[in-house]
Amino acid sequence: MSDALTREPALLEVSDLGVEFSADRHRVLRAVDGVSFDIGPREIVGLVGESGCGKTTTGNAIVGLVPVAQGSITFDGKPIALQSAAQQRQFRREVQMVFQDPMGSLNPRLPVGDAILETLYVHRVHLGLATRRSRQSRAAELLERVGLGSDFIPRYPHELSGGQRQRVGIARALAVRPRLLIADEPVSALDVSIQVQILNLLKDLSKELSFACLFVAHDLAVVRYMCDRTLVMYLGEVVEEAPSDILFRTPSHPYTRALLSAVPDVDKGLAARHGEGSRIVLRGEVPSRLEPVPGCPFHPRCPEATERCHTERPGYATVKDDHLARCHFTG
Amino acid sequence: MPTRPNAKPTRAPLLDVKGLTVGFRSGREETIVVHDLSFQICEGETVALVGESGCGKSVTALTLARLLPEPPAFHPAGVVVFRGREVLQMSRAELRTIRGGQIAYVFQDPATALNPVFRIGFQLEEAICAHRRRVNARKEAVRLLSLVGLSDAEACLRCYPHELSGGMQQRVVIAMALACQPKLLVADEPTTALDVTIQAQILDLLKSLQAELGMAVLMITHNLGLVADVAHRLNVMYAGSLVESGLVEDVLTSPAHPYTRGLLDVVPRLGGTLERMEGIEGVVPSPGNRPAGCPFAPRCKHAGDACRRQMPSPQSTSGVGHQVCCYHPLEHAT
Repeated sequence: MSDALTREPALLEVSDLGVEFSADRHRVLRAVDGVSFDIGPREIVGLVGESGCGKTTTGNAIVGLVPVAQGSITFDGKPIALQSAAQQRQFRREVQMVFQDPMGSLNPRLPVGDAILETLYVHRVHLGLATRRSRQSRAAELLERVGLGSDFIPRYPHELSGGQRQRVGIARALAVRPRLLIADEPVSALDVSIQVQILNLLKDLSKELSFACLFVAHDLAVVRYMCDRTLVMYLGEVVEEAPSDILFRTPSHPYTRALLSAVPDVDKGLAARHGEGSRIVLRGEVPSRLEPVPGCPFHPRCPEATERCHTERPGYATVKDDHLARCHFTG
Repeated sequence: MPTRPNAKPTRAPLLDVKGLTVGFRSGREETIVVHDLSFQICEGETVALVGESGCGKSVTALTLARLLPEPPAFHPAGVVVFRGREVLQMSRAELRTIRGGQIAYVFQDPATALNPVFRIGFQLEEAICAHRRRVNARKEAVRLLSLVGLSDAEACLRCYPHELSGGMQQRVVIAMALACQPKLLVADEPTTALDVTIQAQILDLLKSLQAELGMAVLMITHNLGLVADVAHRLNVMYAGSLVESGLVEDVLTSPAHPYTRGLLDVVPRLGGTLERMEGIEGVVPSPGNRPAGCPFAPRCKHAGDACRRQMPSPQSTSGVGHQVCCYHPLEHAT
């Protein structure tokens, strides 16, 4: 998709990814349809969209939590489908996940220190840490990295606040020194004053430990704050992709524009009081994924749809440089 | 945009909450979760109650129509005057006339607000018949559903809740709340469970309904962007106390309380510069561990000895009706 030659070789390349679920005996639900993108080393890429758009499924497909129906995923230049068992183990170590609900992703019966060390055992990297003391000090070091002290080692998840639990989730993911972190809505369960702490933590760690991040979220303002590049998904497709500052300043796809305009924002709300700016309110709802929409998947809700959009599916068009949009009327 | 209400209400307020304190008993232990809260809502205006989770905003909302089970809930102090009558002293029969009839609620999760085993039509007609006599309930149900923008109202009446999307369910819940032409609609995070494009639809709907029906709205939310969009006046709560109140323009453009300032600084914005934001250090105290004095003092950069001793009382600032509970209110060069 984007011109890989101008950047460092990509760490992760996803091309034409498709994921299908069988809905019942006769019908298939295409959750992800022809998604392609890449992530450079140390790059933070945002994947944003409404619920059901396939953003979480895309993340899950990369780590192998759901089977891939179509397309290929290449990590560090090697297609993961063709890897040997040992290479796959290494891939699973180098790609780690942070989930939305830190209470649900931590074992309630495992103290925090053990939860972090478990990752080391699973990936057999604890062997360098022969003694109990050395393992404990590694756990303490990881907890300090995420802003918690070693006194958290014996504590259980229920003793922690939401923000602290999410820090533990991050420490656990970083325990095996991943090169790519997939963060699936890591702050949407947290209060706003805690959100920023976690976002700053992830940003800083990504620089210090130089890992890349696929940041899956529905909150556009959070994605703008976090990500170098942003992909907007709708109905299983990426409809727009651009460096974040360009995407949020000059969105090109009608869906992105509507999405940006729908987000309640302090500055926008105050401006609207003086009669400035108006909101694009989309009609209708996201259509069912079981009945494929002919033409452009967005046309039933698009305020700018024409005859052509009803029949012809748009391909990617370059708006400018590395700004791509999947609409007949861009570029 | 909603029309601007007068800054100084000339009539008596629709709802007047004074010094409200709400707590919960568990065994011999008493935990106070709302402290000495005062605010007013006038007819036809939208007032927002803003705060993070656990600040007591939902408890306040539920107390307005005494929806919390008592015990464990109790109110050791304060009055809630709704249209000249004291809600905290009302008998059960009196409460029944205002619940749903004059104060209606819309909650966060429409899926749990609707009964999954009954059709929409039955549930909506039940709400209509609860307070109104001599109406054709079926006809009224159809009218309400078209009022909230459900085009095929007849078909919708025959649906079960699970057959509708989240946005449609919330429209049904709003229709149900409007069934008895309430004077006050309490909307507790009405769009938090919805996607942004649907949220925009529901907010527009609430705004237009309010203009059309002239009811007052108490909007409970944690989202300051949403407040800027829909509300006339704003009350900011922290750890059970009201810390700042005033017109939305005043509070959001020149916040006087360090907590309000902090909240505004930590919300990622869609426009403007992308500087690094610094979060508010520390965490919200749990109701059982509320510090003495100002609850925000342990996290506040400006806190002094007085702040740790006694909760500051509300004082006026430059804006009309703009009040702040702080010994060191922030100054603004305006």
